[in-house]
Amino acid sequence: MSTFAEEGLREIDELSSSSGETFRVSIAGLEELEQLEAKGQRLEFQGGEIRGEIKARAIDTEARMLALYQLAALKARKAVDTDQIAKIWKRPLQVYEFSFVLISSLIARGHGNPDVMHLHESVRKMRDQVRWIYDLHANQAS
Amino acid sequence: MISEAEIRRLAELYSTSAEALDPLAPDMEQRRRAFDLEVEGLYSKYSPRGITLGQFRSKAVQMCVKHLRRDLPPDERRARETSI
Repeated sequence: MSTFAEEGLREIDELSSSSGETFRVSIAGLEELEQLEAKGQRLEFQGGEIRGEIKARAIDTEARMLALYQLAALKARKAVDTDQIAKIWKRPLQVYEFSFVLISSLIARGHGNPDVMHLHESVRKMRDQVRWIYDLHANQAS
Repeated sequence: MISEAEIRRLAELYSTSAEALDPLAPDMEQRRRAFDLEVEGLYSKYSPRGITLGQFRSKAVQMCVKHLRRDLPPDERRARETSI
């Protein structure tokens, strides 16, 4: 692979790494907010504010996950062989798999905020799509 | 063995599924399924001896990528080969 192609892959890998950490922190933050909301239910005003913050963070997290997908998709469209395409999607796939597990665990612990549920569904769709693309290009028969 | 028209059709399906920019599109799962079904249909049609469906699928994907990149001008193709 050329130096330029390696740089493109490095860009995706670095973004995946930083995004993975951002998503982990965001999802942990969503759980904390939900716990605060549950404790402050009697304060409608406060509860309303927290709910708004959860919604904003869930939307922001989804947008960032979509941005990672789209950057990888644009890189893959430029790649001229399937091996390159598999390498491009490898790290983003790990990020989606990891994020989906985190949000699933959050929901399994009883957090059922509608915005978190929506984020969970969006991450599942992204993970399914990326897993399919990766499987399509990885382990190519010679 | 696969005709030019079949490759073109498969490449179109590949483009709308594997190269889609919106993974949240409501019909994304159907697009993936359409590609998979097309590959399975071609595999059944040609029944290549000694080649598994997985191997056939890999070759089909390679053909799609090659088909979609082949119309690029030479300088654009060279640029893509060295930069992703």
